[in-house]
Amino acid sequence: MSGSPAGGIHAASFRDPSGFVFTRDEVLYRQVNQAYRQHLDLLLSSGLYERLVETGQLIPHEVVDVPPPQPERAYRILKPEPVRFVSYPYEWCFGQLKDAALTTLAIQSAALEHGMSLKDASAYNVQFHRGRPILIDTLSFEAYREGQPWVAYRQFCQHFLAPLALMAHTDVRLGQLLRVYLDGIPLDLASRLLPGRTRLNPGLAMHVHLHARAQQSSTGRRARSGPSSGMGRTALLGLIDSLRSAVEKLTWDPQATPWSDYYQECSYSSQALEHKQQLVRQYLEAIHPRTVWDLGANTGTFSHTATGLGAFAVAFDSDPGAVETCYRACRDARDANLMPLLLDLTNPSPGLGWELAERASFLDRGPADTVLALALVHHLAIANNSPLARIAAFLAKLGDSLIIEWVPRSDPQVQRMLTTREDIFDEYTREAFERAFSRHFRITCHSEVEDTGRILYAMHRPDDSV
Amino acid sequence: MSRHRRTFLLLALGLVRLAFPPRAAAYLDPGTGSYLFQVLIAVGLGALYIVKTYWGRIKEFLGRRHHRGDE
Repeated sequence: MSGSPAGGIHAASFRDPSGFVFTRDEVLYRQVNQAYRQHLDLLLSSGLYERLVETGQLIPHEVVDVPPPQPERAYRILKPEPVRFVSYPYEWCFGQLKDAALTTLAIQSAALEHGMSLKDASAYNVQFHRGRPILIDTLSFEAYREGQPWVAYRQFCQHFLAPLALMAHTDVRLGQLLRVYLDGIPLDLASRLLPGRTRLNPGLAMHVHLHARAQQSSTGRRARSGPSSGMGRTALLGLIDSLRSAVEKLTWDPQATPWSDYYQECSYSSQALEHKQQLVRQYLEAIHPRTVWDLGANTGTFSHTATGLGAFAVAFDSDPGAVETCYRACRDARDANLMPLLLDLTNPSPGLGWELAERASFLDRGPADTVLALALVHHLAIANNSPLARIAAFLAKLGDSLIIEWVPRSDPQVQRMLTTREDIFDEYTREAFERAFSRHFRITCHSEVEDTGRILYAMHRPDDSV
Repeated sequence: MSRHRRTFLLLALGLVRLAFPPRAAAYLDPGTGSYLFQVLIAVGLGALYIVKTYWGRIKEFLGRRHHRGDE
């Protein structure tokens, strides 16, 4: 979680007058203001809360007796079930964003059945909890008034439909536009970037292309209020159904990405891979971490080793195809302890938004108990020209302990990297590697991975009492 | 002109107008446009939803009859 201004109030929690999130003694709470009283009571009395919690679509909470940070405005203090790792839409693969979109629409349909409606459809209100998308903002609901259009329609299109359409029809990497546009991708931009054929797709033609034009063409007009300019419940259900159908039709398959065949093409024999897995398991058993960050995880082979030992693992990779494959496998296996995320370690998620504190940086969300950096160091040192000392310093910020694989210069992967470039890496030696990492870690054990010349190390930060 | 025909005509004219927008002011809040657009497409989407729901029920009914016939 990012920085806390006065009273432990979360830096991202300032827009909604209904309440805010705050932290006290490292526990997260939500103050519900008097202004939201009627809506919270309806959420609980209408049966909507119970239904959504039962289906795993809304974060459960307890009402607690904790002194509120702003007593003059307070109605209730809620203690939501904690989410283990906060992630953001620009770190999700296509499938994660699509599932979050469909969950938002399912919640809106359920809300309408209970006389309520979502007033926000922000992708940031959704988190992945126990492997599934879940709404974390309990204050997103309001009483539904007959004739009222969906106030979150534009936000849904910008946060979900536009990025999904761009990822499916133009290029999957355009999901990264969400990092630039925190309130979702502007529809006129999405409309320009989408190929012309999407104008023949009824859902995208209506909700992206025509919608974008409608935004531009309403200059000087004001929306009238009241039932005369409103829409009936059936029309609203029709809108939700149309959005659902548009989202469901969007697909993207991870076929030809640079890393999709990594394990088939890389220098490991099945025997060496098995030995490496055995060593990683052995090291993890000795450390016994609760949280593991697997950096450059590919499809999460070693993250699974960590979850198999009871840890919660986040599998980071910069390849959208690898993350998608990992996510689909986790979703199919209902794996609640592994979260695959898209992250480029050479340019990880920064602090973003108002005062750079609305969305926490990658570093702010750590440290993990253990970091796995397997078959990674050569990519950082050679492909990215990062000195070993800088790599060691960075990894020391991420975790209390580290399991890292040294990939020697003689390794076929390193040789392949050096074929097309000048070898300026005199410092890339095992001795220099150990020297650099010893400045931040205590090396506790190391073993060679059979038939590879690669060395696997376990290290601990000196202040870490393992 | 019947009410339905008038609604259809208005909807069609609205969509045609959207296809040829005037130059927009960059400072305009896109929320207003979204609101008006939503109301504009509402009639069509509501009608489509009703047709879809009834069609689903007809299919379900026929499926049930067909299934019973097999027994």
